Amino acid sequence: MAVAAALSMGAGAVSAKNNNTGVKSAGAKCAIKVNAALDAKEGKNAGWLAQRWACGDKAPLVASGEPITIGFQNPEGPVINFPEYRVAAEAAVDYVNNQLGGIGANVAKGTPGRPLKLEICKYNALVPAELPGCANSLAAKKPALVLATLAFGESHFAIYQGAKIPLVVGTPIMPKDFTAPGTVAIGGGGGCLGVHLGLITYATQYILKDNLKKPKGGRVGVPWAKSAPGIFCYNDLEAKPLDVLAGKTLSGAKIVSSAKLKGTMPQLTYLGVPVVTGKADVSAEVAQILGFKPDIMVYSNQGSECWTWMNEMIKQGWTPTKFPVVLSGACIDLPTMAKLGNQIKGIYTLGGLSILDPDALSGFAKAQAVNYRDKMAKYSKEQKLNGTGFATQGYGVVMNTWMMMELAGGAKATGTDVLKAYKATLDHVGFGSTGLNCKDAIKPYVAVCSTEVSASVWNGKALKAVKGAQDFSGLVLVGKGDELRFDEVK
Amino acid sequence: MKEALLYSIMGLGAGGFFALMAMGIVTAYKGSGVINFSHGAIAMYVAFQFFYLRNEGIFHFPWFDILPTKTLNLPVRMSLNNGVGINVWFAMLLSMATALLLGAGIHYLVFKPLRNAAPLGKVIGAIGVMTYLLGLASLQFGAIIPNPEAVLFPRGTFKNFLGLGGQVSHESLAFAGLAIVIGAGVWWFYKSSRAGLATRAAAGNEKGAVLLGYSPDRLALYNWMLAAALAGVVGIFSGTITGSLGVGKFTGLIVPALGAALIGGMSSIPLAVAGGLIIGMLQNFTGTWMTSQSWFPTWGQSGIREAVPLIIIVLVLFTRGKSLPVRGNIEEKRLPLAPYPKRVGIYVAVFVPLGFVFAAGLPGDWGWAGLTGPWGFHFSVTLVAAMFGLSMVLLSGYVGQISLVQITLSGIAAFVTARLVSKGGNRSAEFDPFAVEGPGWPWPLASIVGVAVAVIVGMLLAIPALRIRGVQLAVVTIAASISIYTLYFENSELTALQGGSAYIFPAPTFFGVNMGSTSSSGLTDSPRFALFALVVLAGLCVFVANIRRGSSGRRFLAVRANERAAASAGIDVPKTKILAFGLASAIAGVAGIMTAYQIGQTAATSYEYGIGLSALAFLYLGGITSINGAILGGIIAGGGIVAYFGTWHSPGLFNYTAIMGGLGMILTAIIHPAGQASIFQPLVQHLGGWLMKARGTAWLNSLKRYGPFIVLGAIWGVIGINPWRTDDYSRFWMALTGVFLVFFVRSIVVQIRAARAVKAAQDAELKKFLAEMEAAK
Repeated sequence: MAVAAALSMGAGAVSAKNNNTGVKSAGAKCAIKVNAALDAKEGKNAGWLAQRWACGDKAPLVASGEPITIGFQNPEGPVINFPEYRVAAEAAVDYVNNQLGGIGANVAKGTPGRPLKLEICKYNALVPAELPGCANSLAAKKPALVLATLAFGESHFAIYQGAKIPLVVGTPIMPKDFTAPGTVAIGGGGGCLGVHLGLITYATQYILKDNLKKPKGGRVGVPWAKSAPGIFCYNDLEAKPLDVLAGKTLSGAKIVSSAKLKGTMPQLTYLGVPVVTGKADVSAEVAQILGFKPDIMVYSNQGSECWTWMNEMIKQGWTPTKFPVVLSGACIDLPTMAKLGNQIKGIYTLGGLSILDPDALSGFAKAQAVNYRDKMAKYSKEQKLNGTGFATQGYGVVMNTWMMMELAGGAKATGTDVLKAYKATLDHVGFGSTGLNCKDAIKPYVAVCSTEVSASVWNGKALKAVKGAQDFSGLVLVGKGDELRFDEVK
Repeated sequence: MKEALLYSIMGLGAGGFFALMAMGIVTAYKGSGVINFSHGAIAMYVAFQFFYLRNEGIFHFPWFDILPTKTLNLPVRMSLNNGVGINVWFAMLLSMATALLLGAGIHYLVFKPLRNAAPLGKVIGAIGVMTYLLGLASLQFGAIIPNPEAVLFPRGTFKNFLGLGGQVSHESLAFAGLAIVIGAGVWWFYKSSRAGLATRAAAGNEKGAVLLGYSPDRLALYNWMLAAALAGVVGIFSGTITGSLGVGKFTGLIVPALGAALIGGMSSIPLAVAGGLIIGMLQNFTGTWMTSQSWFPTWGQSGIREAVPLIIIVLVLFTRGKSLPVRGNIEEKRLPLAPYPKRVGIYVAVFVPLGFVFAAGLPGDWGWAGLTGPWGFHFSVTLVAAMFGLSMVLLSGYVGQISLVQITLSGIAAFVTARLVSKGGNRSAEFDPFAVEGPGWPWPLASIVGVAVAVIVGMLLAIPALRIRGVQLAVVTIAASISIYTLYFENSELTALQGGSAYIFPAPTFFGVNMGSTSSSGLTDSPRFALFALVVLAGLCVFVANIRRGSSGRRFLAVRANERAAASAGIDVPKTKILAFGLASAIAGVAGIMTAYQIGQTAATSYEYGIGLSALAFLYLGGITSINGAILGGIIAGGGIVAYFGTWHSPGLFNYTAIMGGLGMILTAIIHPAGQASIFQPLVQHLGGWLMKARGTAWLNSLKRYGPFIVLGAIWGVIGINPWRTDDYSRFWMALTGVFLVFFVRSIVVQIRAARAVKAAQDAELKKFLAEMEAAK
């Protein structure tokens, strides 16, 4: 109700339609009345955001003047290729410029702001010089800040840091995405920091403890992606927290941690099985996991690899009744899941907010999903790519940055101001995310703004939110200031 | 032990995949003597074709829309059923037709013109086809990574298979069975059919086959179509085994298949099938079962699976060694001439200061502020890429050894140096939680040790080269490259790097002067680093030139020309090869370290084997037998100054980079195997000489001859080479670029005309000879 009320508050719009474009021109006015109840429920500035959307629909304001440039780097090579990220970001920019008034608009007075301009640099991630080349190229144009989508390397950080250009990471995957100063990683779930810790938290604290009634622990199967970020995500954010919960490593060595939950599940044991990305056949790895007879299995990989794995599990006789499976949000592939239907009924997915399916959501999350669906339908230049997870992240990273620019002072805000605004967020609404909490980031993961995750369950036809397992964080498994696993435990 | 056996049997599915791929590789080799590195890419393309036909009823044509208009387009796809998938059998038929079309196209357009080319030329042709198909698939199928459904094979598992206590899937066994059945069919084809027997005859002695009335071209066509059909079978049926279908997936799985093909001696189908199945089983045995045992050392867990093909290849080579057949050709062209370097000192004295001025600009307001920002960065990339090219000029250009492991040697030098210069620190510190502990040696000392380690490894890798050569060495070195990558670069136990993080390289200093790549603006565009790189490159050029001019160079060329003849002339061939590998490794090591200094860090991903393949291809475009070729290769390399110029000037070209690169490789291998350097070098020399001597009439004549092209190019440039580009650019530079492009196109036209003229003259001579013979009769 609060969302509906907020969305309907732009009723006082007075404007004239531009005959050529069908879009209302500058001069359209829209009264701003922020719904405080929505802020309280959905996070700070949720009411403001809802109001701006409503105004954008009812009294569209077209940005004008000199554009404000922000950089955008995206891998689009012959093998590592994410065009959907860029296409969605461009669509979001068009939405901002054509309906929301750009940056620094005064919608109450009908004064448009300056347009946002994306300076795009595509790079081939297989050519090592292209990523730092992109960073040099973008930094030389002195953008207010740079949006990095998902980077398969770390050579750009030093360049942006040297040029004093803040970096906003959409999908953090490399270690420096989580730890670099001058950077905020805003992707829903905080990349593997939030998601992998969340997987372990959900598997042990919710399923083992509550559903399976094994409070002292059980057997956890952990296949993991043997890729550069996958190694880090498994070692630091799955194996280590499992050791922390057990109070000891698999070889029996005592674990050093200040985490509250340390040693609370002494009977917990696990089997980690590396899965080489792109391997010809994973049947042996699946057999290893099944042979371990786990009480629960958690897995995170690129979407398609998850379903290679699940198909093989099904082939080898796994059914949802044998043991529960928790997959990361990156695995969500609705068409593939629909084909498998009841064969995977009851599996859980866990991650940031997925805004692909408005019907599966409610409240402000649903409003975000509807906004994404409608605006992408209007502005996306490649409609076929709209239904992918990375497209939602591309759209979200622009929407969040636009929101932060507005909150940091509009057109006058510098990149540093925007970074400060990001870094100050706590219980703040985040588009396509479980919220922005940059202020709460722990060392060494100082860049991570969003570690909260939510669980969904597949009912055979659709993903439905799991009650009582929304917006929780796996950081409870990490003591503040804990060392990374690294060479601590073998 | 039961468990070990069970896991090995589970590897039969992957083994069947390798066996089918190996059959295709052997078939292409039999037909035309090409080790087809693009075989995986063909399988990938057919797999995507089949997937989209089956699911959306869309047929894709294996080309792209070359017409730069929105109104007139070349058809690139066709919807057969209004977006709804078509019947699986019909989809299969059309997919196999695609495979056959690809096979015939590759034969006619690439390998028929390259039939008598040097082995390296054929390798470049294959890499060109692979690059083209990867780029095309990326353009047509984009970012969607589908999970193909099972085709015809039964689903389910055998419970407690053979009493081993575990289950094995029906599909794995069925796929292995399919490989065996198809293998039997192909074996029968070569054993009993007329075309197969003729192919075997031609593979053994092409001249003999011609005298018997067989056309080697036609036989090659049949074999290419058969090879592509086998790739098609992989594409259609393997989805159920291999799972998700990505553009690069099958290409990444080519090495085990090459290993299986080598087990079959590049000729025996049954042995290749057996090899594929064995490799599949051994990979599971080592990579899955052994690594899960408590006694297995943790440092060996990363990469043992990938090392299996290398171990098998090396074992096969040592047991069979020189008995591995080299396919016969009527005529095999040699590598182009390796020109004798002259006036090296003068070039260094001119070009190093000129390069520095180009990078740093002129003092005061003299109209040239130097290369800043990305231009400065990409200029440095060019210099370092040229250094890397020199290592391959020495090894491949001078000695004829096709080594694909040079990139790995670069990485070894960089990683060892990085470890030695590391100082560690508090990992939990906010700024660098992933800092690596190390002794903190001074950079020159650490760099020398890094290069020394690369030399030792390079010389060890030279041992297989003592028994084999040509494309077989390429297979061994590519397997070595992948093995070292996973065993060392990706192995955090050995590198102390966590999850893809990088070693940080401190900036090099000379007597307190910072020569690092980071400038005061924070960008990696420092002219000081450009000077550093120029000096190192010049030093390496002088080094390579002196080798070429000395007795070592003469020995190298003698070995390249004919190993047996060289040995009979008293040259110690093994010693010469090992020396070449050692020297080339040292140069590669220097290039690796300079790359790290340039970027300020180094990570495993910079030394992946595909990067080495790409560097080799660009070097070939430049000219693999000359120092100038290495420099030109650096200029046009990925991330180099020309590549940046292309994307800066026309961002829309970015999506076509791989396609154009692939086509460029193929065209160069066919039209001008000596590379572009052999065109530019005489041009520059001629121009220099002409400028010194030319007088009024000569100027007038030249103006008449070249003037129209200069005017045309300049107008094109000023109007805008890409008139749709909207942002600002210098019209002066664009005019120059336009002139350059017009002359480039003209040079290609002139070359094609010259080649035609030579062919026409040869035909005329042959006709005259036949007429005289006839008359004599």
